[in-house]
Amino acid sequence: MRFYLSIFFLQFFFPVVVFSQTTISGRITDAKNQPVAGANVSIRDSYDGASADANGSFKFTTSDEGDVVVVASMVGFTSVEKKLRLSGGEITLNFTLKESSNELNTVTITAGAFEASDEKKMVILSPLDIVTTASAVGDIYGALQTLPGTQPTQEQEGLFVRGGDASEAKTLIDGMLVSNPYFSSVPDVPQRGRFSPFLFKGTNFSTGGYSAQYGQAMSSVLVLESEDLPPRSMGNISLMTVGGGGGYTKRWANTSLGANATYINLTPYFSMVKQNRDWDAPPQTFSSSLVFRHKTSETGMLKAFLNYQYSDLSLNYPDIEDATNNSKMHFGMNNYNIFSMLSYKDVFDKKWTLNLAGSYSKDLSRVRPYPQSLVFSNQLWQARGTIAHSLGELSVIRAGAEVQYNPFSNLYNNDRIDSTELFSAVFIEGDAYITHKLVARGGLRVENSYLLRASNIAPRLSVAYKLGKFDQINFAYGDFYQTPDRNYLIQTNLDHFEKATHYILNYQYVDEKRTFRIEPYYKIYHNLVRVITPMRNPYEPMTAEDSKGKGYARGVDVFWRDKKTFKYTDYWISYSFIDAKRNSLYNYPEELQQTFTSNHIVNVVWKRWFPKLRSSFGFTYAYASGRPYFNPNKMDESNILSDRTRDYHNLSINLNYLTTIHKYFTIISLTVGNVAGFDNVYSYTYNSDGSRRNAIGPTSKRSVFLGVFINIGHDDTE
Amino acid sequence: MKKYLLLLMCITTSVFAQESKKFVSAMEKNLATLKDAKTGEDYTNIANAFERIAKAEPKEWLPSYYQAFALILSANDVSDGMKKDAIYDKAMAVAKAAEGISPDNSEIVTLQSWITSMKITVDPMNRGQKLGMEAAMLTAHAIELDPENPRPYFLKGSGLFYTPEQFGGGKDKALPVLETAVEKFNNFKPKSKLMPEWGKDRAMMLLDECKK
Repeated sequence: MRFYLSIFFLQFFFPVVVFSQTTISGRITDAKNQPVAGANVSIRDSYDGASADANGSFKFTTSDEGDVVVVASMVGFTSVEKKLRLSGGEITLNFTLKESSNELNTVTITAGAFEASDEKKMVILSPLDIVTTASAVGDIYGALQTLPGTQPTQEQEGLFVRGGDASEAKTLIDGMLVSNPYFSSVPDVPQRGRFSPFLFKGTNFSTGGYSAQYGQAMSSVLVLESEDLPPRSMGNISLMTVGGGGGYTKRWANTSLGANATYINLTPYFSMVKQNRDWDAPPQTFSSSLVFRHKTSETGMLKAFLNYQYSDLSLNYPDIEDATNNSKMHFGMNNYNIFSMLSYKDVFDKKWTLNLAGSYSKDLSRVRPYPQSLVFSNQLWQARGTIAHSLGELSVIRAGAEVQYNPFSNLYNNDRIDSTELFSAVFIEGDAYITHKLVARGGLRVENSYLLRASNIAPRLSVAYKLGKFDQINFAYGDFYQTPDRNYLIQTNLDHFEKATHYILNYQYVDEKRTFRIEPYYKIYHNLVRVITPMRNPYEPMTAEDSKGKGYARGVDVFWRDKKTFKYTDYWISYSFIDAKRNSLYNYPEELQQTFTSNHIVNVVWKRWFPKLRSSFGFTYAYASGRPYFNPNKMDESNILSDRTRDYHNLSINLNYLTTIHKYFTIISLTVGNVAGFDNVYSYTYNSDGSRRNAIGPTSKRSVFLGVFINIGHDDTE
Repeated sequence: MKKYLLLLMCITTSVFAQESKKFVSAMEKNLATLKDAKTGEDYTNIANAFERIAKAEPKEWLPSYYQAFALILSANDVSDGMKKDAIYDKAMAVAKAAEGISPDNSEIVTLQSWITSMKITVDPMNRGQKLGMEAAMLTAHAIELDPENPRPYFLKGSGLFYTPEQFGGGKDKALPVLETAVEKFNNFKPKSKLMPEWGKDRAMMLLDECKK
């Protein structure tokens, strides 16, 4: 016993008993045999180990014995483990580390897509870009119109993408369709989008070839992803030449609730800046919204959003038929719009992502184009569920279903039309990463329309390959269907979805500060609705003759953005060439270039920050070649739509000044639209015998916007 | 029987003592290396050393704390924004792991706030507003957890020092916060040799700058 005890005491007093030492050395390299400097080599559960030097070499000595696991790890690489038996002496051990996938080394689907997000590092447009683009004046759609593939159509709202009309572009918020994303149409007066860009953390704008998750859009989808929990409670006040507003968001631990209200009235502004329209009652708008967020778990999020808007206006149009120019045509409108939605997202077992969403929206417009009175009501109930399952490191499979119930009614004087559309769709889609450099996305979407009594199956395919460190190519193909405008849907002679087939080739170079992309495309249209006369007024009752219209759009989009070359400067240039024709007029079998299509479009957006002046200055220049217009003197088959308006030019400037008002962070923003005073004509209206015409131009030669935006957060200095 | 129990106790305590002695001496050695570190490589190597200890001692928060600390400083020599981000992301993951071991720890929350503000520097235009608020919230939380900890005040003060006046920063605003920080530094006594004690010299330097 004494003997044993003495051993224990020996151990107690001489705890470090050196049995034998093993020296481990070697080299750590990547797949290309380049050294991985700074990699960590260690024996698991021991302090022993070393870092790789600039040559990737390492060396250390350990007193551990027996079977051990040696681990080599490095930021951006997948760790490698090796089993080893230690029994003294020297051991050479080399490691080859593979880069783990990241945004730099992994291919992504880019064809047709412009992504903007706070979270991703490589984005083409960030949410901030939207609000600092001079020509946009804070409107999401205005900023998107500076991207290639879109048409600047200033006499009407909407996104006209790659030869498609505004109905072919859809807006979704967290997967829910927004059926009236713009303020209600007024003839020859373009309207803005209904939603503030600050509501969204991500903007994904696709000009073609998009995923099977989305349908009912032949040209484009704009997928908006709403903000999560705000970082803290905060308020804001805005004072503008056109009105004012304010809001407050309260943040609790896992919950937030925000309320915002804005009132816009253009009367004072119109009295100061000469208008080219004869306003009776300038537009006024009241908007309010409630935003609720609740974090249900580490990964779960419940969101509710309610948006209410009221707007009214009235104006007079010159009666072109009256040679004396004394009589006028009155147009008045008021509109109520509600958009509400509830969504839930969670991740289960790290591999399953569930998204559920429901929405109700209602739009009610009363229109008084003298002497008629029209009432349009449109309600939409919708539900959508998707589930995604990740396979391996990057590959993922998604499936989902959606249903839309859409009662609508149109009242023309005393004629009332009531109808209800029921639309449903299911989709399945998979992203298969064959390697980090090669991905294939295949999808299938099946849709059914009750009023059309028709179904469709739309295949989608996109293949992308990473060429080098910064560039990649992407090919995309797909069929895209949509039901004809609901005003045609009530007719029984239509039984086809309108259809577009896209072929897109995309080359993209993105490094940290510069982006270049070029994207040729070809698009074929089938089963377009054909009408007798072109629509002059969005509230005119229209009848479709058949759905035998065909067409095509082909062209190339080029985009260059550079934040590197000039200090404090960020600029982008986009160019689009579009050749698009379709036969949407029943009596003209020939395919014709439509009134909304320019062949050449250029946008230059330039922003510079002046830190010492606490200011930023930016300008936007837009050019679009002339567009066709209808001339009643040239309605024979060889001459119809052969006239072109003059080319469009617009130079807008924007000045932002940062300051504090009563210790609150404040932005003062001034924007002048068409500062150079270009005389633009968008189209012409003719009298019935074609002897006289009026030019339709902008609502004012120049536009001026001045706003003060105050952020009321916590006082950081307290 | 008693004898054996006593013996067993003797053995186990001696093993524990040995273990903890090994931990303390390894930490002390690495902390000394950390103090002398200058280049990015130095900081990477010392971060690696702390990582090895952290992996072997899953119940100790300090190795992860210092690993994250060294990682932040190792990124200063990196110019590629993507790589910087990857390092800060790892530092944050490590700091979160430390928080898992020692929740409601003012020092760890302070470190998280620091990492968040460093992430802003990669892309100030786009991240400034959002991450700036997050960093400020973390600092406030760190003060809440331990009002006597000088480091969150120092971080807050240096944040204000480097923030332009028009964004609510500037020397005037930094001055009182840095004064508080220095005062708290003077009263601060780390509970052990291994506990964080960085920041005092820098805080005093910035305070002098503010007074100029």
